[in-house]
Amino acid sequence: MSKPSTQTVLAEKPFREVKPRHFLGWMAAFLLIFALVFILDLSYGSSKIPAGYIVRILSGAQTDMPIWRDIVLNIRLTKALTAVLVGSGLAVSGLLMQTFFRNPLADPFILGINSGASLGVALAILSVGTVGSLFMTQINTLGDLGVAAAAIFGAALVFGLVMLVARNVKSSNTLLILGLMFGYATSALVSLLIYFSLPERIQAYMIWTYGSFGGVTWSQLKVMAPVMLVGLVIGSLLGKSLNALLLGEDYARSLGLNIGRTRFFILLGASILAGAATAFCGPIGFLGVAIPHIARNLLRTSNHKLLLPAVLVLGACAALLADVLTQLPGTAFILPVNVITSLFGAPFVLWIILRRKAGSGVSI
Amino acid sequence: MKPKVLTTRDLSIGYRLGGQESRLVASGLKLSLIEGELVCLIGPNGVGKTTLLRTLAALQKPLAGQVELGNKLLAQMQEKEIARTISLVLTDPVEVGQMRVEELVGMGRFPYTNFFDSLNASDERVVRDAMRSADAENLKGRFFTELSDGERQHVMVARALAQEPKLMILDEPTAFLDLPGRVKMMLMLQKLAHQEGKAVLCSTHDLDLALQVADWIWLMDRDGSITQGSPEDLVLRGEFGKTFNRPGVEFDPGSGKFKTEVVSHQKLILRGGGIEKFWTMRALIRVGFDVLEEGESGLPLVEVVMEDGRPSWRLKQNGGVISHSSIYSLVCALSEENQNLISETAPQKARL
Repeated sequence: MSKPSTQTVLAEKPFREVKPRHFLGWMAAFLLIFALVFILDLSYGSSKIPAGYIVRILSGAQTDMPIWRDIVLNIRLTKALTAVLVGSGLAVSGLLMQTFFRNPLADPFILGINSGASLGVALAILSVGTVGSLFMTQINTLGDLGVAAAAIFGAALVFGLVMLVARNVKSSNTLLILGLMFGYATSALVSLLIYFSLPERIQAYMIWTYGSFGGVTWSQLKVMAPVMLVGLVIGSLLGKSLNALLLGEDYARSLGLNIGRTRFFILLGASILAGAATAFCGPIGFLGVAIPHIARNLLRTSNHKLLLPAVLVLGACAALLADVLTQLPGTAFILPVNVITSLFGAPFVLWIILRRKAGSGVSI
Repeated sequence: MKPKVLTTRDLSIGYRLGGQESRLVASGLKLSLIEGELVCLIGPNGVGKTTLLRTLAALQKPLAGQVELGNKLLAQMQEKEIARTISLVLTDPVEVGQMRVEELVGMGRFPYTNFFDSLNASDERVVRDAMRSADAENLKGRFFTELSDGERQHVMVARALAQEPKLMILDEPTAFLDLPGRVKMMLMLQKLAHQEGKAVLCSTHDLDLALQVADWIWLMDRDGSITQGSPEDLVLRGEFGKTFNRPGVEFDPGSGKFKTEVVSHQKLILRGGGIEKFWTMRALIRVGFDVLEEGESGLPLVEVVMEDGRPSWRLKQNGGVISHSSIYSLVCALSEENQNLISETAPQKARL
């Protein structure tokens, strides 16, 4: 081929999409991994169920092992679906926060949403046998939604405060510090509660803070799933606005972006996702801050129209994988999710970031 | 008369400090920007140039008065409508992570694209033309973070152009550029105004360049008042001196440049021609001589002559003639002499 004609072809190529074929390739790979980890998560556990059975059970066919059907549908499927929703939710929430605060260290909990949830749960669990027990008995009437309800209450309280402040304060950094202060204040209150609590109650609270996908029942999932989906839809629709925000608020406004409305939806989406995830599974760390970096580095783009779907699938994959790894092989021991995400995730993220040439590693 | 793109009426600019308090930067501004004209906003640091630009671009509200865009009030326009009329290049560094040049320029289509932000064929044509007009075509495919300051600035101008604005506002677009980069940038802005019919408003500290390319100057003084006119009219009226002169620095209407005031100790006669004479004169003025064309025979005389196609400097003083092969050697010899003269006239002081 002669040189001039190559140049014409280049000039006629669509301008915007960065190698869409590569993107679709990556997405196909992510989805394949997702399917594999999903099946793996269902088949793995105290009793190992072959993948073939999993597929048959999921497709509704009868098998010769009815007990496996029970285990898969009533225990492992809820756990896997919870992991999918929470993993996607925290990853999307983290991406929203990193772009909104223009800070690669931002995570879903930066606004203090999880601090609020922790305080709610601490009040619910720790105040038993203390002055707050009256409050606890009322929470208990909500049945198995008790702890989740307390967490939602706490998260919603902080969210309300954040939105109130966000309406009057223009600077994102002020919000950042505000979230930090909420965190300090609530952890002080939680410490106070722990100080006056019974040991077994303290242990119950500590176990909640380790995070778990396994505690969610079908009836809880029926509440959690729609809430998470609302958050995910809000987040997914913000791609265009988030791209504009990458340039900074002044440029975004000069491009015609309604900053006030965008801020509201970013904060709303990120808070719903972080709040609901924490309420039902405890504070699951690491995924929210790490997955956006992994997606950006694999796809080599900051374009949110590509990052959002990638982060959605990758978040689910990571949460499912973490859940698989919580089950110690050959034993009935289950390790806390937070231990796995950080222990295995941190070296992986370091590798992802450091393998890029210097300077282009961490960005938003 | 070409149509006015932007007009202000008794505009007061500044910052609201909360409550009833505010800090007034300038007031009573009556300004207008005209299609196809390059306007340079010039003024000392801290007079409020950026505040003015931000107010005109609707990034901050005026304290009083109105900005009219076409025949509409800026304050009553939708964000999108403003974005289709005004585009910006700001001084804040843009940290976009992993974004390619054409993606960044494509963001200029934001106010035109639909909810899903996909560019159609005509959007892509606009993006391509913008990159061509802003001399950023050769940067296509590269990551924005990999570019030099000068290249980035061209990409930001291309992005602003992709917004298809009637008015482009640029805050110190030449600030981080080297000298050729500055000249290239200003000439490009002039071209955008004259050939593509944009109204272009840019603030700059490159007075020299602004005088050469601007159609109109807004000269902002420390009290917030703005003096306007064509660059040449302002020079002849002595306005630049009024705004910028301070002890030790003064605007020279003869050259359109600032010169540092150096106390002349000695008179000296310079003869010769061509570009060599011009640069010799600059060197002599730099080291403090009062350079004359003709004068009494007692004064030192420098003659620039050409020997075998190379310049040579003959210094006649105290009855002797010494040839110097470079301006530096001539200047060294002269300033040594000068130093001697000073110490002779003030011997006690020198010894102390």
